[in-house]
Amino acid sequence: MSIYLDHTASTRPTPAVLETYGRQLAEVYANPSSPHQAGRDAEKSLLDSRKRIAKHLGCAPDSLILTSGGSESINMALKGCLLRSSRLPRRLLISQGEHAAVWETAAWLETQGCKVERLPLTGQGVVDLDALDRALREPAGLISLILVNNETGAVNDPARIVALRDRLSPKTPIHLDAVQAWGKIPITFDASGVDLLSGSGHKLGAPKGIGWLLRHPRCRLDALVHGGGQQKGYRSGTENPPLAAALAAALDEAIPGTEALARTARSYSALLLAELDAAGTRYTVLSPPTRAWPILAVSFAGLRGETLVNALSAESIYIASGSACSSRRGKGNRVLTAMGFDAATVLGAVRISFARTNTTDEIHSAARAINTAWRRLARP
Amino acid sequence: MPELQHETVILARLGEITLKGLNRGKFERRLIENISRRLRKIGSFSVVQTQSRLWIEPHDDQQDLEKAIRQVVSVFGVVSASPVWRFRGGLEALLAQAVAFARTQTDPSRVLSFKVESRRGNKQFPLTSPEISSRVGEAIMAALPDRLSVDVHQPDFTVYVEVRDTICLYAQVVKGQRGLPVGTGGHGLLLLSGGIDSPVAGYMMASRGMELDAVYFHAFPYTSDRAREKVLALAEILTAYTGRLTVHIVDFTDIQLALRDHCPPDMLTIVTRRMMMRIAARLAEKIRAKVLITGESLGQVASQTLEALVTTDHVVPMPVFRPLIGLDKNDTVDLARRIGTFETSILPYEDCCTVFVAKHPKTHPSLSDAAQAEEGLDIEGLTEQALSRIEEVVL
Repeated sequence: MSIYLDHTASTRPTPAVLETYGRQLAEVYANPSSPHQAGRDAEKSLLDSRKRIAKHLGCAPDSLILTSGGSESINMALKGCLLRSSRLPRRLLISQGEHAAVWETAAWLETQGCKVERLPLTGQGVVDLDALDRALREPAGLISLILVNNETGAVNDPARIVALRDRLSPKTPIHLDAVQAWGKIPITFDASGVDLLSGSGHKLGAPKGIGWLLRHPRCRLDALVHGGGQQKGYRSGTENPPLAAALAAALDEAIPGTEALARTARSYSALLLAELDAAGTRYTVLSPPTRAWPILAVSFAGLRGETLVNALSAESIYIASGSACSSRRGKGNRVLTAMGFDAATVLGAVRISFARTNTTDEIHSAARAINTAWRRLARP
Repeated sequence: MPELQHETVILARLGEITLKGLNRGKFERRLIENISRRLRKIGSFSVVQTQSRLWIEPHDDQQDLEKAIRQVVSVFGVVSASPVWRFRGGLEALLAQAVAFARTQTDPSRVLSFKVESRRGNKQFPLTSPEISSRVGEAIMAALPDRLSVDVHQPDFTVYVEVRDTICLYAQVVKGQRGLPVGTGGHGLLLLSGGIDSPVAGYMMASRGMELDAVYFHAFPYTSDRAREKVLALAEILTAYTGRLTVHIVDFTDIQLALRDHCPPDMLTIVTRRMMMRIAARLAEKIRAKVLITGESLGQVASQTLEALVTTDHVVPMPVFRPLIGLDKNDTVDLARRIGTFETSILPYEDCCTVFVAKHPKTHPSLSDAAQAEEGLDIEGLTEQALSRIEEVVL
């Protein structure tokens, strides 16, 4: 049996999700825009799923735009805000802690004439609020910040970001990349005060291929995908009732389970580190002391993260080195470097991420395997 | 009309082989064998030789000639190949066949220009070569005046006519790899990493007729299994030129750890190279390869300075061929693109040379530096251990 500790990269669909998705694929195949009865049945299923999804995410169903995933949602938020004609300047504020979906979209927007400012991180891995304060002295077209960092679990504080915006530049919309936040920390859209909030289904038990962008009615946004005018014109393309139903089923479990997961993950994290300590394995925790508990970034002394990932993989234990999206490019790690870690520490970084389906036995086995690998392979 | 019957076969032209003297038969037999083996994978063909050419004849009309021609032109020793119409008969048959053949070359969307080039090997044939060209050209124009025009300088296509004991028509000439048939140039062991250079080096030696085995040093978990898969993928691409290829995968992890613990960091790269060469040489002896082949190019990296190469050669009791030694990296990249290995080579997985690299490796090591760095190291034990941990993958 394998031990999966890479839930930040992707998750295994739960039995309820598989059952719902399989059944709906077989039964709800008509196009929800079709006027006949089968189409109306599909539409009804879709509307029901949308209602449930919106409820879990804390927004009105009208605020929900279903997309193909986190990257599309983020692209839509950034391009849809900055490229539309507006009185706000084409100036984008992001941080050094962003995922590639934001970072690379911002770089592309620069080629289209937008100005991008990349705010520094504190040693705790969150955006430097003083820098944001200074940056907001000039008007900006959008603030886009990651809510839970995918590499360290560091959590930006939406309340303080919103307060700064309200005080200094009240017209500037805020987008939070919340892909790693849903199900890991409590969050509701309507209470957050932000304008746009993105998310991705496969990070919390839904299949890959569905994500969402939540839009506050006051936020004007251009569509990224044009066509048949589905989703009130915000996102054309035939809607996918089975996938929406699978997402609703995943959220049914993940959102109410947020607190329980945090508790479990926190104890797993402590258990793992205690076992490393007991064996004399030398490591540095890269995640800040307060964080989204399911994500734990650690760097092992004298051992490349990639080497440890390979060694554990041979034992069917799966963790990540750096971020799964960037680990194959052989570059340094921008986020960890921005937090002030030196090159050797960055090179040794791995990310271990827990789900409520993990067991204490699995954590013991993983710790034992890490200790063995470190003793054999590390040259501190 | 029975006189319009022809067979479609592939004509392969041989290059350098035809210059061979008494050995020519040996080279030709090997080439026929190599082509036949390649064709067996895709269908049912015979390979027949007449003078300096080979005829590849399908056993029935179910065979895929396009696929066959692609196989034939990737075999070293073939200069070019053409799909040809072959038939017997006199002038009348030739003219009728030529018209039918030209019709297959026309394009419904536009008028194409053509010319005819003829060669007459059979001097009994009543017309000379220029006369054949002109009669065939006239017949084609008379039959297809709306589809074709004549342009003897820059035609869209050329109808080639060859009159020997049979008559052949063809228009397409596909370039081959040239070189010499694999198996006529001895047997070498290629040190294959995941990089750009070593597959090209292997290709170059195979093009001179050398039969290859490959050895890859795998240092799991320092190098990932994806790196191993990448090396096998590169070897698989090489088989298009080399035919069957065995990759010997050496489990190198413990040696790498021993070297790392034992040697000064600035000598680690050289000592690692020397260990790889020792193991490769012993493996070569075992499989009866007479030479090692590497993708090294002078001055490319720290381990490829003259001093470094001399230090590594010193531990090997056989020649080391380095076909890329004087090539510019850009030329190697061009070759890698041409033979189809480049895209795979640049996949970003660590190879074992890049795992334990000192910031400033010694670029001009002397033999005594190397000997000193290896002092007290159980070289024989480590080499034996490596030889006992080899996995063979036959591609």
